[in-house]
Amino acid sequence: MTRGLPLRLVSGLGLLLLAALLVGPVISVALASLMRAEAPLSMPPALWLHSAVIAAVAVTVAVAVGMTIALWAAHVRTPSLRALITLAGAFPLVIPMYVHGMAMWQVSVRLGLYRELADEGPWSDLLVVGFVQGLRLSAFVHLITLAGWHSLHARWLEAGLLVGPRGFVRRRLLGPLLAPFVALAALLVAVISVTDVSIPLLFQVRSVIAMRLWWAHYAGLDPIGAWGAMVAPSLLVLAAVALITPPLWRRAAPLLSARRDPAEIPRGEGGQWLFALGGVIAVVLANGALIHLFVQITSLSLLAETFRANTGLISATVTTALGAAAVAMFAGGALALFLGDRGWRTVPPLLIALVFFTVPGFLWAVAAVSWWSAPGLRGDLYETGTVRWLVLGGRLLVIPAVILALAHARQSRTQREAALGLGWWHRWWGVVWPPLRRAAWVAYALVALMVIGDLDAAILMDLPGHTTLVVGLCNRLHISPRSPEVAMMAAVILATSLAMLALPAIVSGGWRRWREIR
Amino acid sequence: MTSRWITAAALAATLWACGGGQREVVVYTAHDQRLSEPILDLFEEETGIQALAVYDTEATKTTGLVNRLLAEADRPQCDVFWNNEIVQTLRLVREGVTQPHLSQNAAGIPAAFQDPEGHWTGFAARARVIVYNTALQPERPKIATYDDILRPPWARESGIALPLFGTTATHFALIHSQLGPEGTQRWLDSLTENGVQVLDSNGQVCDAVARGALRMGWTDTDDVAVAQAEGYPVAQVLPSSGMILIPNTVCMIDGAPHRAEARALIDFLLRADIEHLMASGPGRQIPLHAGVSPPRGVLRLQDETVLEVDWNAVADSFDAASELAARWAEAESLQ
Amino acid sequence: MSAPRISVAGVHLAFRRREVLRGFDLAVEPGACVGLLGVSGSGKTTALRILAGLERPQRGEVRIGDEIVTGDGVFVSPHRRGVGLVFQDLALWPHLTARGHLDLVARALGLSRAERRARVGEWLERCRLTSVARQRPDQLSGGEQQRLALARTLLPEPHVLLLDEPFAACDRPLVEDLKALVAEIHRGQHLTTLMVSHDWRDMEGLVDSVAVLEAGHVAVHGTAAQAMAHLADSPLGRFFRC
Repeated sequence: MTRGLPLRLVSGLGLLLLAALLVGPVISVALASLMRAEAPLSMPPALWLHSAVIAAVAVTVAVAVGMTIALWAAHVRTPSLRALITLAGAFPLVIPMYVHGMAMWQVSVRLGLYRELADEGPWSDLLVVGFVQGLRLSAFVHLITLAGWHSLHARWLEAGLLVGPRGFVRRRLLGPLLAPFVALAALLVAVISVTDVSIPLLFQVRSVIAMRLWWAHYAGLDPIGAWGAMVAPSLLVLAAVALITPPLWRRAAPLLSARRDPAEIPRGEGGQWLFALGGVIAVVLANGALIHLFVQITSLSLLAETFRANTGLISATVTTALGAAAVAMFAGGALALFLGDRGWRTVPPLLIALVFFTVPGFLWAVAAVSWWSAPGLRGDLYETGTVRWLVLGGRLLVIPAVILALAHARQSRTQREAALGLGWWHRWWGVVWPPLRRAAWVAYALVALMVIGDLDAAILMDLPGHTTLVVGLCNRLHISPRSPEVAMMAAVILATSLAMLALPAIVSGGWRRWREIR
Repeated sequence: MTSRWITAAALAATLWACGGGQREVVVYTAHDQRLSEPILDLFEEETGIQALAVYDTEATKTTGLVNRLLAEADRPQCDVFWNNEIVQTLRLVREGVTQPHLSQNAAGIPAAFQDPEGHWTGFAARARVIVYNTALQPERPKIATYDDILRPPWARESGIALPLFGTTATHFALIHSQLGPEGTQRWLDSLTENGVQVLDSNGQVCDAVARGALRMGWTDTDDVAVAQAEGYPVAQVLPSSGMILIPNTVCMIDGAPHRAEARALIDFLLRADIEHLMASGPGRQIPLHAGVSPPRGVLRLQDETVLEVDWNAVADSFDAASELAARWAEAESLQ
Repeated sequence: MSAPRISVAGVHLAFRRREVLRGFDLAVEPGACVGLLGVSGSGKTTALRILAGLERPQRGEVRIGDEIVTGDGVFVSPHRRGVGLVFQDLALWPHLTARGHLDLVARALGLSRAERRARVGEWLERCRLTSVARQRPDQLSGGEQQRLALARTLLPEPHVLLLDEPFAACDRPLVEDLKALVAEIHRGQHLTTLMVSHDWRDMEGLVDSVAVLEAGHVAVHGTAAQAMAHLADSPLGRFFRC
């Protein structure tokens, strides 16, 4: 620690909190005017407390599960096994939150767990909601921790192994080195957990901030408004980020700029295969069970028939997700590259992008539709159907912005400066882009998967005649949750999502590179 | 090279998705997709007009589209709104989002279920019913009013949906319009005192009754139909004082881009044979046309006592009722 | 324990069918400083990693003193071998200050807080790092980074010191400065030292004997003159800066 750190830390936090106090209301008022706000909502402290409890449980579960899977993946040297574990850990992202919640609800009701827990009182309900959310959100922790792992240098850990046992290295070196990444993932999980309504709705937990906002929105209490409520969450999130970000950044920056090779913990004493295989089986079973426990897939012919019957839904989903991911990638990538090597100055724009992300999907979509659907050029553009890409991608641009900013920071400035003689295109394509390719793939995958599963926004953004898969699935789910048709639809969503994940890898030759790297 | 081809393909797919020169009508529908889609397909088949639908879901309590219509008011994209209830439609009428269309096909529909100016028309209704578990309650209970099951001796084994959403919100707004704010607050407090279970949706109430977790509860005819079709031991009973009938409603959006096609779709939906079709489907919708005789198992309007409802008064009460319900639910959940 | 003897016998190691070491044999007498010379890819670094316990060979045996540390069914963990390794790229921990590096190592030894402070202070002083104790690696000069890597390696008082191209990225004056430091430590600490380099000048005046590694095995092990003579006859000789 440098000598002046506490003073710098305190002043930095103060500045960020000040910014939060200014930015939060500005954004909220702007949203309010877009949403034709009328009256503020009440937000009793208990709602905050309950939301915080749920977020805390979700973060705990997500970090425990996500880190375990990430470290499994990192531990395994066999490329195919590692890829399998990585994919399995990311799998929950493919399942929309609502569907995941439905599955968990069905499972817990069938096992008699839910009623038993729920009868213990409201606190146990909060624990259940946090647990269910945490299981799905573990995928974020898994992916971000794994990304953190790849930014470590093998020698850093080996240098530790020379002085202390494996446990010491994990505790004293690996933990602190991965801490910024885990903290970032935890922050993301907390934000999503607080703003999610699907799981509280399914498990009938009503005393949380998100539900209050949701009631205001859907029950027409404050037609399309809820601006007063928006001020407080914005401030809370900004304050939390302000508290976490500077130390995070300070720790992450030297990690990212250091020289490195991909880290490997030396092989264990034995049983590695068994360990890894156990991991794969556990992860796949845990995730697969979510869908398969409450439905029965009956036959391949039915699956093929479902594919044929839903080509419209599939094409609508793919075009929506592709467009939104492209917008998020371009906007977030441009932001990341523009910010470049600006150190702490990268934080405020990213913070603002994060605040956009914290606005619940339905509020964001209603505000966007209100603004775009106006006479003149805006409305003309709205009618083309491209606005949905801007809206969905705009909300999620923080994801590629952060991921690409981190990847960009890893690249040494001199590497880029060495290419100054080249034209901008060759410099970009030949020098700047290649190291960003894998990060771009991860960012694209996250955005595409989140768009596919975003039910709230889909209702407001679907083009007429082009219903997306998530709406189709939820409608079937409502009528007969245990029908084979629902299972088929879930399978179609999974297949479409996986195809969407494979697409950029094929386009960029990433798969070949992936194999080469292994 | 591959990337260029894929980019071109993505662009082509997008243009394909956005383009088309066929006659079309844009319909936003909060009616269940599985039930409304075949009807819209039939419309396309008969008229050659392509019906471009946007569906709502139960997960958003089928009010997402109302908010979208309000948000799009300055530049409407939608021609026809097919709602599965009435109060949110009245909300749109009040916000000036609709325009009148008096369909000739609405002639057979009772006046209580249509707007004299033609801003909305009701058809194919659901009834509010009391569902009971036939294993726990072999004898058909004698019920005078809906409120009977919310009082002892049945209250502790009864359930209703949270009166914030769907038809329960409409039902609750009706109570509010009859009892006033204080009376409604007392009504809510009596739910707590009597130990009535409050779940999140009619579907959950029906499911709880079907599984035997509750003896009886408030729900709609279509939920009971689904539970019966799945083989659960449930039946429905109507209060002897009369049933609340909640119709589907259809309205034309002001500034609709395809007016002629919108009229054609509304006229189509209001036809007696379409009501018959909806009565025959899994939703067992109750026909409102005087001359339509529904299939067996579907309630006949002529055979039942229907409560007379002043829907405008219900719509007037809706916001105040929702506010009251939200605060009550919040207080309950915080206890 | 005084400086131990190191002996490596018949070590084979292959990575994905590529044989890196083939019958690698080497003996280093107690307290000796031996230079391991070889072209890039000849297996020098791998040999050091096997000695340190960071790689496990498919065949062969490694002894440090009287103890078999790697052998048939035997593998002693790296931190129990009494070996210190300075990595070619130094592998400094980017999130820790110079003091933090040494403190972490002292912590691994189970020292009390007072002992830790004393030991860390001593090594900061010895390696002339006291003035930069609160700096992180990215804030240190090249020489300071090298000295920090040495201090981190030597703080646990290993009996064997392994140096992997320790002066590769340094200019000549700095190399001479660091060589003097290594020589002082080697003698002062009674260490057995094995140093890897592809540049003879890095070893000159520091090592007692030189082993030349060719194609995964030691081609010659003897005095500097013997090694030079071998290299002069070898087609590989032109690759060494002798």
